[in-house]
Amino acid sequence: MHKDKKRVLVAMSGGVDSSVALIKILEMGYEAIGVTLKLWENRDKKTNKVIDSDCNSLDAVNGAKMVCDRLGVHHYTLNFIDLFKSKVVKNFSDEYFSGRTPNPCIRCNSIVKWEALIEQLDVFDADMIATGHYARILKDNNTYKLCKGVDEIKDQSYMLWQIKKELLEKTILPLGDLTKQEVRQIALDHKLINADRNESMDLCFVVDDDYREFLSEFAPEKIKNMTDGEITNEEGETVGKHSGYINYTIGQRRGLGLSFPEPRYVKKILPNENKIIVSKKDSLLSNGCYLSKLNWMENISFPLKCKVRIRYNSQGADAQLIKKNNTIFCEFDNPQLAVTPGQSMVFYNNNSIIGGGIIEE
Amino acid sequence: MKKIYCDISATTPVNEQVIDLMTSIHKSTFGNPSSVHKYGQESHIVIEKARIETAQALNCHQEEIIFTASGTEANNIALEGLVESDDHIISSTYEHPSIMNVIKNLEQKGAKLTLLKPNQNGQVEPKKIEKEISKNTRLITVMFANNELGSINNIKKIAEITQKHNIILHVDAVQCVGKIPIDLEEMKIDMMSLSAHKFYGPKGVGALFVRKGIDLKTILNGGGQELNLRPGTENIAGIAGLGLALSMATNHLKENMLYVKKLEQLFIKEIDNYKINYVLHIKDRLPGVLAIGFPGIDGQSLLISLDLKGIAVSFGSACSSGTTKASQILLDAGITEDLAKSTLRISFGKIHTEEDIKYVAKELSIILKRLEKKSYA
Repeated sequence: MHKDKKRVLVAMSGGVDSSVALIKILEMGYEAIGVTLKLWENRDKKTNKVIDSDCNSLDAVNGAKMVCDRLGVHHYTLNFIDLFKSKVVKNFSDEYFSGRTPNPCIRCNSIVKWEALIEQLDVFDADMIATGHYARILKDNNTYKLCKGVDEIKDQSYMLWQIKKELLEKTILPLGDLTKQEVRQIALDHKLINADRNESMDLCFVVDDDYREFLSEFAPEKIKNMTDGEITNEEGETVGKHSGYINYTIGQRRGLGLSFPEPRYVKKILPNENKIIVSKKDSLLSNGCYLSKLNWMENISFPLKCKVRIRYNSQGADAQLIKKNNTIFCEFDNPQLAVTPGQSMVFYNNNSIIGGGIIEE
Repeated sequence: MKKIYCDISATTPVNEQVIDLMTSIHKSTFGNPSSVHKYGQESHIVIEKARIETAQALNCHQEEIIFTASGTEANNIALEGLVESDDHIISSTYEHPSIMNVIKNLEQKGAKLTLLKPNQNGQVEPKKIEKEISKNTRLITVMFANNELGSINNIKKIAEITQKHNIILHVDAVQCVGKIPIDLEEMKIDMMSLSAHKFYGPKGVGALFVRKGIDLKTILNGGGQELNLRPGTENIAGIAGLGLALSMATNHLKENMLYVKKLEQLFIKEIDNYKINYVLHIKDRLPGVLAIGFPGIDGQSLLISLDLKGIAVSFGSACSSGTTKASQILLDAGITEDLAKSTLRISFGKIHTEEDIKYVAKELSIILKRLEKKSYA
């Protein structure tokens, strides 16, 4: 069967970004199919009725359907609830109970929005996928590079580091060359009703951004075993009590219930000892950390000088990656604050992503 | 792109003449049928005419027909209106949710429930039903034909059993009214539900047949319309549409059945010619309804691929899924999980031409070749 045009599956959340991504895909001359991924259903505890969250609401799915209908494009809802639960939400829960701070959206991107969606290409006899992320894929001598989006404030490349390199050639990111302002304008020009809708930054499976409440529902047996414990200083002296270590993240200051003339911050979480260590701000500074679960987008050799981001909105810090104890260690040129195990570190060479890894101790 | 709708079991397009009739009623007959004045009288007549048409089509009395807003509503009114808390109900595992959820609710309110699985032919065996009858058995509710399999139950035989034991028989006939002959004089069904949109009538209108002498409790409270069983100002145009669509379907029943059977045979011949590997599940089926498995092929993928070629069919129960789940109804009928996951329901009707059938078979063979390659890759 020969198609005149290449067919692209556009992942549609119903928001303005993915809607404009669809418009751009059509403008580029592709044949498009809109798909909305159903990832989660929140149920009301009392009535057991589905309560929607932003990523998955009826409002959002209908929004996607409306846009597809307007543009004369087929739309399907794909049920990935089981996959999302086993690969993303379970990991999210496990990480918290290990005293770490996970980033489920990054895992969801690579495992669900890329791997699982690209597996669906056969079903739709499609050639590529497209999403509304603000990042770019540039072709350079037959290799594909994942790069920052043109809009520096909106740039979402950090969220995509875990995607397998070989999937880049099957991906189009039509918003990478646009600013959010331009995207909004395109939406307005096309009279998309969702042009002004605010996007949520909350986790789609957590109601009211309350992850503690979520964990108590998702893993009740583990929560049951969760007890109060000691807060100590770096010297091991008890300075207070914590209400269960999963309630804390590295760098947290508020809600510790401590009174010191100089504020104290969570420096370490020790789940096995059910202990939290606090320190002054200076002591949160770290010269480096080990990395796990590395994913490389480019061929590299060590030591490797690069810029690293240790959180989504960070500017990036100069660092050097070296091989140490059979794994990779990152040495910061200048000490960094609150380097948090479980979070992602992404390595950049100017605008392009070299790779990334999960921060360890 | 050519568009061919092969999901007649899900719903049908509305007959042109039915549309014309409904449009003219919408334009000129708007009075409230309960009003005393001429406007009301005219609307009332429209409804009563439809009741006569419906009764004639089913060979029952006009006062035995209650118009409802859907097949679902008819099922609810019949079952909830009849069953008391200590009653025993016998039904099947493959009923439509508008039966299943009602009887499950009744069970919670104290009724006793026995659910029978269909056999390999997709039928609930009358003998098995008879075995389950106890002194408290009040109601047997079994669908006439199954929506996923297309299999037809031996309702005549079941009716003989209920007559013998003095038990009420309700039949959800939504899938087969207008597709196979139903004579209520000959078949001693006590209550029967139907829905207009399954026989080229409009959506949002159905009917319930309630044999004389059966006393149903009111479950909807209102102004007393439809023998107080379905109160609310009547959907005049819809009811007229149901009446006309049903009489057209029954007046041309034999020729339609022959025509659809012929299309079905042509389809089988065509897919045989393309050497397609398939399993046709049920022997005695509603004309034009095929539950057909394509071994090794993911049914959901096949549905989407056909849809992208303009051909509409349906797959199991889930209507939107990235992770294909087998339909429980197919599993209950003894179909293996793998085969159930690769089973589509393709349903043909009088709207199709031989050319349509050939096109569907051809596109199907092309898509299957592509998907087969993928599944071995």
